[in-house]
Amino acid sequence: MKPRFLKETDLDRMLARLLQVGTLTACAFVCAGVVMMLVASSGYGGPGTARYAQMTLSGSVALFIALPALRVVLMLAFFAGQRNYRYVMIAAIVLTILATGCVLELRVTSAAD
Amino acid sequence: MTALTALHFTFFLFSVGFVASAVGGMLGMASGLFIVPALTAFLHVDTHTAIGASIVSVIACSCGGAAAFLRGGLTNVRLAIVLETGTTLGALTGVLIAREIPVAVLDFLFAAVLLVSAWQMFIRREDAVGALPPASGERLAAALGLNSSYLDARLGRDVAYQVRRLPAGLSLMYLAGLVSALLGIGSGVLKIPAMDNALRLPIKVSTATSNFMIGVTAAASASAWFMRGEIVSAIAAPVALGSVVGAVLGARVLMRVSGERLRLLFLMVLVCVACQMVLQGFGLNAVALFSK
Repeated sequence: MKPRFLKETDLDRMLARLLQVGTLTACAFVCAGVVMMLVASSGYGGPGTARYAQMTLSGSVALFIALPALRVVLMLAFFAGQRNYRYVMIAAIVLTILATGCVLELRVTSAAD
Repeated sequence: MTALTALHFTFFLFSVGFVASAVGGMLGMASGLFIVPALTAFLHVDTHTAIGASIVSVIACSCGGAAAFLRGGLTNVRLAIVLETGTTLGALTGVLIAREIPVAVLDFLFAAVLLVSAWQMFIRREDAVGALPPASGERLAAALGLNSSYLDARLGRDVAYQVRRLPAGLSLMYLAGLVSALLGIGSGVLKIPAMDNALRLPIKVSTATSNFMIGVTAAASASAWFMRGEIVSAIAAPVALGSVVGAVLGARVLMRVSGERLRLLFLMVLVCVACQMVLQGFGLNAVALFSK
């Protein structure tokens, strides 16, 4: 399939699919994490259950946060396929700003440690 | 924590997300407006943790709701990505200055945003497009290919629209991003005037596009809070799940009940929540005062 033949409505469809699947996956992770947390606090689980519960919940939060960034990446790829370089640049600017926030925080946090 | 209290607490967190989001969905507004006040007033979660939880559920609602708008062809994704340069930059500024701002000031700012929302609900949104003459000299919007059309289900035909005053819209978006990062809300309350009044978009398009943008705006600050370790997953995750479920139900209910009385009720709720946030800014908790 040649990407430049994709239409703008195809982008809408792909974005809708990505966001829907991503949201459902993250929600499933939350449910799994909560169940593990309950098992851990009732004392039935093994010694690592509480830690796994914590990791699953953190994973779900991370997925929720990553989802919008992923859709900007998808848009960037779509516009690149269309050779619409003006919009490739705009999407790249948004991604750069998103990344800047993370990098600045990492620096500040490690400086404080 | 025993199993029962952990279950209770998680259930309460889920309910806060659910109710805030269902009410928000019925109002056609972002859920974030109610999550921070509910978490701080009822569950005594501290303000920064509440803001962290709220911003995650704002992302969840935006992503969960976006699919329907996208499939309906209402979202202007080009315009969204252009405006997101403004909102994310604002959010980044918010993240950088948040440390310097005392919690009490955040409470007062929150109250102010609630009151502006109440005011907007009071005067209602008008469709700004109507009888506008075709825009001339809007070269920026034309160069970026932002003008588009959407299929209006009620009229049964495509409605073309033009994007106006892009620089003014972008500046307002920067402010919206800033407030979103500081308060952990979607700040649709600031995006809507930008889209209705500055850019002059049809209401359906601005609602869909604003919802779509809220996710990226919120992600800009949420990722920074997450890196900083200020997002408590055990609190944020159940609230986010509750809000996704609540948003779906709220939107369904919105189709059926949309009465004048409901609007006035919500207006009063907004004013009451604003009062609570002002009291909280002064170090008082209205819920605790009344329950004594």
